Amino acid sequence: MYIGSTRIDNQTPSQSTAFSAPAAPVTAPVLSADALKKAVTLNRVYARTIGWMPYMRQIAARLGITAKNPDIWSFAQALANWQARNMMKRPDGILGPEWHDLLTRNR
Amino acid sequence: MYIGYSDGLGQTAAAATISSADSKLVKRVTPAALCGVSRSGGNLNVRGWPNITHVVIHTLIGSAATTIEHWHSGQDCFPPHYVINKNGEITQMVAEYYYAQHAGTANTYSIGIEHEGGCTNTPACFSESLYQASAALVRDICERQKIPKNREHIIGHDEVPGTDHGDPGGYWDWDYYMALLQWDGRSASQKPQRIVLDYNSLFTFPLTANWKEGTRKWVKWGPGHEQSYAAKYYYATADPAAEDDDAVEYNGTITESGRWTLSAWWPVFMNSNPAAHINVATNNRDPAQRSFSAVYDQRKSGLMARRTVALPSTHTWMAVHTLTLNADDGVRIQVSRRSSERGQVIADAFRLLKT
Repeated sequence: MYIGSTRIDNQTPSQSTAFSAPAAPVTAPVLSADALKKAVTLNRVYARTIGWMPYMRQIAARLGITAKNPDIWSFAQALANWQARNMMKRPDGILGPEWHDLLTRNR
Repeated sequence: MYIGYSDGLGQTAAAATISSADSKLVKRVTPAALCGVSRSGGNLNVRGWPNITHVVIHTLIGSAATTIEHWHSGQDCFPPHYVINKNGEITQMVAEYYYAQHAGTANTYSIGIEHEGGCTNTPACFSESLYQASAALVRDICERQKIPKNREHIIGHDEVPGTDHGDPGGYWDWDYYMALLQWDGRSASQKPQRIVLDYNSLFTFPLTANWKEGTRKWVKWGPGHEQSYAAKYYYATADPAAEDDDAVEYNGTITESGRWTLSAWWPVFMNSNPAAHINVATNNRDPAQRSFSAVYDQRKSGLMARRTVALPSTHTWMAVHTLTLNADDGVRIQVSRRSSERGQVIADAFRLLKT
């Protein structure tokens, strides 16, 4: 092993759960590392407390996620893209009560 | 493809340590400085078939581009023969018939490959493109040099006699890597497949609020037995009266039909549960492939232990069960909080591997 000066970020998500990018969004907001972390943390809670966990596969499909075993980080990014396409003021990658809207809206 | 250098040092090194790539998979040739190869007097020592018998896998902390430059300029004198970056691009630095100074006692009989983004403290470093490119290169080397594609001849730096280097360590997925090596590289239906379900997976959830999140302990060389696979994992205090759905659930979808081996990984602690229940269900049409349950003592490090020269006991995957499944079959794994024994139940990671 050669040890250089650059450290690897321990929190990088696993690469083994491949993600295929959703259809090209109108705008493609890239969440900052902090925003992404916040979105993932809250989505884990909201999935259960708000109740969209049973619909997760449908929601992922709606977001354009085609990977069979996607990761939760890609989900937050895809959600932020969907929020931007649907003119939400501040796309944050967090799925709250609008999850039902996401499943039924045309865009 | 050969890419020369305009500076005098590069041209001198180019002429001496390598003139052209040994493999068609090499994207660029960047010669290592003369100090990085074995010499007698003014001449480079040469070896050839059948004297090359092993391939040594290394991992690189730091960027490939910077490190290649260090080896090229002579700022560092321990280059491998090949460097693979995170995107799977292969650079050759020393011709295979020269002795690169990459692995101490193994230099005389081995070819060394460094992998960018590799590290020993998280599996996230090892990208899919890195595994694929490395396996293709080693397949090519083994075929040209007639090296058997097995673990006796394809070894980690941490397995070289006398070494104190811990790379690539336990997070390097040897099972998957060796399956890729043994694949012919062509037939798509035979290609090994790997699915890892962990904290980062979209369809992994604790089904109740009784589960807390733990964070992986930092380790330099490893992992040791207290290191989880994912950066975070779930744990809960066992309860003999816990409900059926008081579990962490992992949901996966099978990508190709075939025999899939399910393996588990969890960190081992003294206060872990000696009777943790793992329940697996699939929606395969064959009833024999639909369910499986097992109870594990999560305090036993021996279930997931691997020994290398540099790492007396490193953590690794533990095979749980093998199932014959079809593409698009769903697999649901639950780690239950219900246990008759005291201690914390840990839910970390599962791997499905088709070889």
